[in-house]
Amino acid sequence: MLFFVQLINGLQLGAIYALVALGYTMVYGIVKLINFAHGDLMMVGAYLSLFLYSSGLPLYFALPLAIVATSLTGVLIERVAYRPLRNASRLSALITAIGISLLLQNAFMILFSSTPRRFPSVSEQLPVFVIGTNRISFMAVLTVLFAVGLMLLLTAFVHGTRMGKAMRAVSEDMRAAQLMGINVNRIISLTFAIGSALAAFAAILYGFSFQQIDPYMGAMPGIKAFIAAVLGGIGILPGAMLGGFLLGIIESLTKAVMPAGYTQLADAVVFLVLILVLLFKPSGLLGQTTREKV
Amino acid sequence: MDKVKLRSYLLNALFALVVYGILHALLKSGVINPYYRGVILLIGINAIVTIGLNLATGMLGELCLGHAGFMAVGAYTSALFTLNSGLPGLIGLIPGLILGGLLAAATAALVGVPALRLRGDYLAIITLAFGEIISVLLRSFAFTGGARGLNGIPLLTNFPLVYWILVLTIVAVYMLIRSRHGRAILAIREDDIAAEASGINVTRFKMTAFVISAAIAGIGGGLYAHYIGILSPNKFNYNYSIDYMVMVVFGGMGSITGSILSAGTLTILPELLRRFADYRMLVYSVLLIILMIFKPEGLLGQKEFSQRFAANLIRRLTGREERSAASYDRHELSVARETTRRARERGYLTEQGPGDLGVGGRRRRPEENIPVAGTAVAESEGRTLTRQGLDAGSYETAERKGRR
Amino acid sequence: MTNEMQPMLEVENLEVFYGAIQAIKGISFHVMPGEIVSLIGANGAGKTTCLQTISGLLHARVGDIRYEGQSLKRVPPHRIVEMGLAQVPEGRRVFTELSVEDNLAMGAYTLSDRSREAALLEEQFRHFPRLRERRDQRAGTLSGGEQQMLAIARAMMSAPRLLLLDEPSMGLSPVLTREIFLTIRELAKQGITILLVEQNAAVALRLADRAYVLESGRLVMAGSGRELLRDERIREAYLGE
Repeated sequence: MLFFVQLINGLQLGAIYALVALGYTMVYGIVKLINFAHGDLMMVGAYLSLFLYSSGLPLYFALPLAIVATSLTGVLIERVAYRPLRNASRLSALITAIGISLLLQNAFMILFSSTPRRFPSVSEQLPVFVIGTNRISFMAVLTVLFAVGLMLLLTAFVHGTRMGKAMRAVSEDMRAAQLMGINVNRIISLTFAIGSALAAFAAILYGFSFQQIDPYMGAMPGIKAFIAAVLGGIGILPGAMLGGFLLGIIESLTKAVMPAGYTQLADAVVFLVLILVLLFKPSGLLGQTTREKV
Repeated sequence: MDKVKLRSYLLNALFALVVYGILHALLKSGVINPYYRGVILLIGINAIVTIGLNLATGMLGELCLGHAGFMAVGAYTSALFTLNSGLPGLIGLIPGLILGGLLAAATAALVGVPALRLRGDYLAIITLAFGEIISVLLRSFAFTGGARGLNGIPLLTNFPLVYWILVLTIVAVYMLIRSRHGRAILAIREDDIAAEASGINVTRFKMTAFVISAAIAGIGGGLYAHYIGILSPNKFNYNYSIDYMVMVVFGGMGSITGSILSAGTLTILPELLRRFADYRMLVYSVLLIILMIFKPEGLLGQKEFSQRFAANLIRRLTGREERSAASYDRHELSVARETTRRARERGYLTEQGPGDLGVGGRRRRPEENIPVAGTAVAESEGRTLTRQGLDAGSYETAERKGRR
Repeated sequence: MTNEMQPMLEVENLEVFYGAIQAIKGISFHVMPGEIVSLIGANGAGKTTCLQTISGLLHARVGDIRYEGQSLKRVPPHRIVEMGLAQVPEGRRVFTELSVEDNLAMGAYTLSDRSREAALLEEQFRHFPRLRERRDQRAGTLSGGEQQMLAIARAMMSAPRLLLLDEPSMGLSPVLTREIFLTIRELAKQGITILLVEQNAAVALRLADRAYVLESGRLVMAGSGRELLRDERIREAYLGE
């Protein structure tokens, strides 16, 4: 039964990776840039949520506001830092993304100090499922449901709406999309807006699940979410979700079997997963053989 | 070897000796106090690692975010060697350094193989992950001292050793980049697709540059271990990797001179501004963003301080103008960049029927109708350029060499 | 001056650079309403560059482009499409991941009137019945000829008054090439002005009312299609006779 509990833990963690990975994969699909700052946007979302909530706003108002604010932060970052570099070398864009990531981490470190903050707890108000001898928090279930729901919503948007189709068109061929009269800048802004909002969602679920936030909380989940996106197939929305869940489960189960004191080695296992994927299926689990656009 | 080259080598060697002599004399005579002696050693070590990283990032064009990890491999390896081998002094240190460099190179190969076969920015993410993982591993193993790290490492790193390893690094990287392999590496940075289309084995050259870069970091790490005396797994974290990244970018992507200057500046500045230590990474991040937007090639770009540069400077000061070597290189590169860029622009021009027209309105002769689309396009573009009276530049050179 | 007298498209002293390299070295030409104008020239002569500059994907360093009397110089690409100027890009560039119908919908992206879009879609399907059969298929699964038809239909979905076509015959068999060119003539009959860029000089000159010859970024010849077809130098350099 320990396995079952770890599985639920893994799904809960995986749901958070999955939400961050969705944003990663969308942004990568559109501008072909690894947005290193994406994990840190999750941190921004967490602090904004906490800040707005502590300022006295009710939770149901503070959280949506935090999501919108995070979303706008993402759009702003693209507008100010990435857009001027759209035609520059990939290396310059990547280094800028690193710069933004460092900027967010260190600015928040100076503003809020590096001591972890306590996130409001809602789990006392939520029911607990008891299956046999195991207790499963409703929060875990909620987290997974939220992540899956948002992914489905996003998939419906991308396949069913004009804007969503334009997004796919831009991601496949930006120039041809421009020739269709698609305002590429607007589509890119929209992508960053959605991706950042998802990161904020992830942040709130993270906060509720783990109760603690700090300025560096986005770094490791950021890397793992990217690995999840690669694992599922970069640019593929269900792939990001699948990758996120798999990675979360792998991490939880590894932690469970590692002897005490060595649980941090689970991170090394995740890294090994990345190496194996790149070696044997670089297009990811759901990806077709890579089409190299020349 | 022709006379000009010989003379230039001798001049460079002389220059290195004179600088060494001066610094050594200043250190020995006590003009430079022990505190600054330490700073100078640290500058030397940082310059070595920065030049190594510049090879991977500035010259090859691959973002590498785990150099602290490779340093850690070198540092722990050489420290464990000197602590356990029982060999005295430099006799123990030098094999330790070599071993550290080799092990760092082997680790890099392990990390590089999956990432560098693929097109895209996988190296950035895999080295970033590697950098995080290595400190986890160092903390977990007993033989690396766990979270406490290693203590009592003999302080064997001295000025002559750092100085001459730095000189050796400069010579090695410079020679590599000026060789035909180096041309291939630069061509990959400009446009890996075009480089591949012209027959350069992109993966192999990427691997070579990356592995050498990591080996240099490993040796730098070894020097650092025997300079500082204690190793802690927390030292070699992400921010430490970023420090070197900033040194490379700030000095100039591809400039060895720039790496040395920025290693110097960015080692001294934090020492002077200790009060603002909390703001260091913030300042670095803003510096990175602003540099990338306004001057992505870094302060020195690809310029080097060389005899030709010095000679030109003297000539210019005395009124005799001559196009400097640096500007010639830049011209060559901009042409190469254009050639490859336009080749890519037309990259999707793949299906060409037999009735296709050749360059300049002639029907393409059969032997010109090269089946690989990218190659055909690249070649015809190159020829167009030549016809326009421009030298087709390093790209073509690299292409021809890559074919051999 | 009536609209009939004014050129639909006027390119004046255009110079385009890629970094330090000049691809277009000061060319001027015009297209009158209702005309088919061909721009012929070898690979690398600057034809595609020219069309991409008209569509706003590239920027001219010198010179001006006027469409129906209005300068396009600072107009972003998506606005240019809204103004009634569409382009069928070189190499087709259909969105392979999207269905045929979604590709067509992307062509109508600038239209806000849904019933107009439906009518245009019906019109394209009437023109190209093959596309109707394959409307739910991914565009990537179409053959080269079908993709070219889709690319033309997609551009027509924005209801353009001026259509730019970049190498529509590229990679197509002689039979398919003929079919495509018949389609272009059909479009012209409906009153759509056409600027065609081609390497296949023989077909392009036969189709065109007027044509220009582009060589290394300069216009070296101009005339009616028939005149140029008879010209010695053209016959030698471009028709391989």
